[in-house]
Amino acid sequence: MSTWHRWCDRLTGGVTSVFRSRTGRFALAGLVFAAGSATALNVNTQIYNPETRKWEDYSPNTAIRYFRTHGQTPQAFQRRIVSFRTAEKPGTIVIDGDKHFLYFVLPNFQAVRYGIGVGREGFGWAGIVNIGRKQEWPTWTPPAEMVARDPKAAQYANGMPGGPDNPLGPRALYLYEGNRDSIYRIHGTTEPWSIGLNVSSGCIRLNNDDIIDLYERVDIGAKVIVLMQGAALYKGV
Amino acid sequence: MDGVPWTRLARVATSPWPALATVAIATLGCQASQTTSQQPAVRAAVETAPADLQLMCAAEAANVYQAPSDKILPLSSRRASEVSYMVELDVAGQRAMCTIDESGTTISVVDVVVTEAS
Repeated sequence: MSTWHRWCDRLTGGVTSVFRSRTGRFALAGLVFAAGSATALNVNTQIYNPETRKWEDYSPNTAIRYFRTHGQTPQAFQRRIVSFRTAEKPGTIVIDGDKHFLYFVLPNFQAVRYGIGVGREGFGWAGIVNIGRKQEWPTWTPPAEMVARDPKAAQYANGMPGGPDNPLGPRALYLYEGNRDSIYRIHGTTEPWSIGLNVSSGCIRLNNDDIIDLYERVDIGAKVIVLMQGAALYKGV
Repeated sequence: MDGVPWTRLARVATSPWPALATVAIATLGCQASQTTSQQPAVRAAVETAPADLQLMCAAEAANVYQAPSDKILPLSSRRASEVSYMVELDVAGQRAMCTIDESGTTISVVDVVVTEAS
């Protein structure tokens, strides 16, 4: 198993639901999730086909075709200001990995919403971390297992300098658990069509315009909440 | 009314119906062009609760269990009814279930005990 992740070990079988009311103030719930809720598959994106009038899987091939036709990802994944009802303080980042959105919390119950790409099956993770450091035109160092299996990565075993071909893109935000590097980043991409997909090795990718915009807004130490159903790994909790 | 000669407009000014028909046709044309230029919608294959509602559940759980908010994480969620969602939470290692409506009002927060199948 990759050293980058481990399977969630919280649920392996059936769930016995026991409802105990705290302080008597709350009603008993009548339903619980099935045993597989925490081990469910990653949530993929669907796109509506107006010709067939059906929702279809937004697969990598579909995404590439769409990007080539329109020159960008679907409108829903374009950066915009949205309402966001939260008590989290402005400057907090909230990642909804299932819907493929990253929210940067603003004052007055608003947020900047960006489209993102997230980890593929088995590489998704969730948790509460923080921005440990930021870097412009970051160096990319492929993990040892990638170096071992991919000759293209092997040539960069000691690090690929920042630049237009660097997979991290023009900016990277390094996610820390406390003071320790989580190994996960929020970064740009050389594959802008992949926004909206589950294709990465766990990092959160934005298109390059968006990561530059986010980089300018976010502070070191900012709280980052990562929500993802069926995560294979949890950080910071 | 683009393209309609001004002299023609002057002759039909006494009757409202041609003008109304012209406006209706122009409006339909605008709507048709908006429809054809609209980009297709996207959605998650599995409906989960909006992120802000999940965080509201976490905040309520922090109150209920008197736990620090940075130790409460929404793990999963799904629609419970037409107007509400259920959100499963990890509360400092223990599981809880929150039911919340679309307006952000928390309906309940209860313990969940998970056991492994024998």
